[in-house]
Amino acid sequence: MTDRATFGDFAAAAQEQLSRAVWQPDPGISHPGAPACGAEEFTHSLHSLVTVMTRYSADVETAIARLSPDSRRQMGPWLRASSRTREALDNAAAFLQPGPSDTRPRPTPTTPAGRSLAAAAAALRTGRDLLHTHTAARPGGTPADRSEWAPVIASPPVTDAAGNARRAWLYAARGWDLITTDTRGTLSPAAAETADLALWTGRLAYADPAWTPDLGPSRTARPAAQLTDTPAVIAAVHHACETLTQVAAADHAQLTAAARTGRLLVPTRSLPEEFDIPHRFAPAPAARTQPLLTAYHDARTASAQATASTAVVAETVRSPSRILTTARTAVASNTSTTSLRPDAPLAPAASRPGPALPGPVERILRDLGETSIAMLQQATAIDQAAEQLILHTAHQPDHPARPATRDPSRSAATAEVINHILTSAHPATAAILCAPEPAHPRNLKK
Amino acid sequence: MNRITAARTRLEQARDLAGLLAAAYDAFDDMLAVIRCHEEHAGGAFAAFVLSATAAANGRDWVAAAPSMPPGPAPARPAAPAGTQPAEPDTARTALAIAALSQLLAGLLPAAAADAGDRACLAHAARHAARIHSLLAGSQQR
Repeated sequence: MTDRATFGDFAAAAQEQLSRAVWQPDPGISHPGAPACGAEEFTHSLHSLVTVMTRYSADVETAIARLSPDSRRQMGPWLRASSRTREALDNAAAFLQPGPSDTRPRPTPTTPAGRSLAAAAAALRTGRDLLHTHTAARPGGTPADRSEWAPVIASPPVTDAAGNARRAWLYAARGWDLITTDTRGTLSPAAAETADLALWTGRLAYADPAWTPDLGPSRTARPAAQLTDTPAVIAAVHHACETLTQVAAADHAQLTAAARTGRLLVPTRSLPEEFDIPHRFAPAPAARTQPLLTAYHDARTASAQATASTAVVAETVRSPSRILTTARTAVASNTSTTSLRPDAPLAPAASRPGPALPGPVERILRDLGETSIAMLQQATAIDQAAEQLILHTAHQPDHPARPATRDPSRSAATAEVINHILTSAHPATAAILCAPEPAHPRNLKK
Repeated sequence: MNRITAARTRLEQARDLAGLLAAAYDAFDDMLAVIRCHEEHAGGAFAAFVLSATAAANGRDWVAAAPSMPPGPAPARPAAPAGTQPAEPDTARTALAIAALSQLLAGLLPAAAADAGDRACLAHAARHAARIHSLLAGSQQR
């Protein structure tokens, strides 16, 4: 007996998921006239499943090809079965393959059947990875100086999702290159926690248990052979992904509020000369705040997808972090929103209604200590009227698509108004106000 | 002469506080740009490069906040001459060059402050420069 997962566990998990897909058909694909999205994602998920089955079949053919002629003759009907299975799977994969003109990214399954098929494909893929680890270790008794679970961790869905999250967070970090806040010099509790997260995950990745970033870049990575407690390692990765998802959501909400209230700043030294601002810092122009907000939205989506991919592995290896998935399922059962499913990315923060933050005039009145409801309502009306006037002007039929070669938020006074519109109005409507980022020496090709 | 070398030369040739502040601002900005160019190729040093970029942006903003720094947009800088970048980025050499420049900044900035306001801002900027140095060169190499 062993606590470690075996190939049989993955096969059983796949079988269970396939049973669910069969016995719980989606209304979207079983009833005529139902939305086509169910059929489309079912086809995508089925294609993933058939693809991994094709790889199993190819493995069998490869193994058979290595046999001696005598051994192959003894296999008799199994040879034909293998050949015909491979042919049938190849045909199925070809029929399910999206057309060449369909370059859209594959959607995350949202229907029960689509999710079950995707989970079955993931289980079979992970099981195959495990099998390949064993077969790779046999010839010549290759030393076990690497984790047998390395291929599990490096399985394509997890690797792809982690890579996407890494890229998304890097874009978010780059968004800060040209922006600062009015709290410069203070470390928020969230930032401190994030630094701790980097420290502790770094200590998993590096051999030195006392690793810190200040030790410099040339440190030895932890040998994979040391990572023998696979469920614990997966739990660490799972918790890190979950934390990043929450951090991205919180950061996006805070940034949206900061942009609305003019608290995202830029050094005026970094602005083009046509900006006439007699201060060292000014509210960030829309062309700089909007990419930052988009980057955090994308980071949240990518982190949620990495969490969902890791959750599949966590379930398979019986990691203690499965509690995260259980908790999400419990939350989802108390809501009717599909966005809280454990295997689906969270809805973008921007798509949910945010708190009604005051516009510039209302905020000034509040800063002056005004509490009269009538006065504050009048200030709100002035803010809204100003925004409507600006949007109306930007939408004039004979107005150029890019309204200005000069950024409408090029002064300290206007930047706050424009940013408030950008975070309040519909994105498509507000986008017309985003002037392209002006050329800056730092952006010139080096 | 590449961008980092040019920034170092400007710093060393600065004759007054205004010149030093302008050169320091641009040096942090140049380090940030060069780090961003190399971070994707940094391999195991990826985290060190990304954290260094954050420190460079913070250091630049602290220099910008110094009371002696003139407000408003900076005069346009000439673009770097073509052909000054190596075809294949050498991440290790770049890290060492940036670490050396940040070490110079960490030493120059605190001593340059004329009044308390400048002193506070430049002390912060110097700390960020020192952090870049430790991240890219290793302050506690064992």
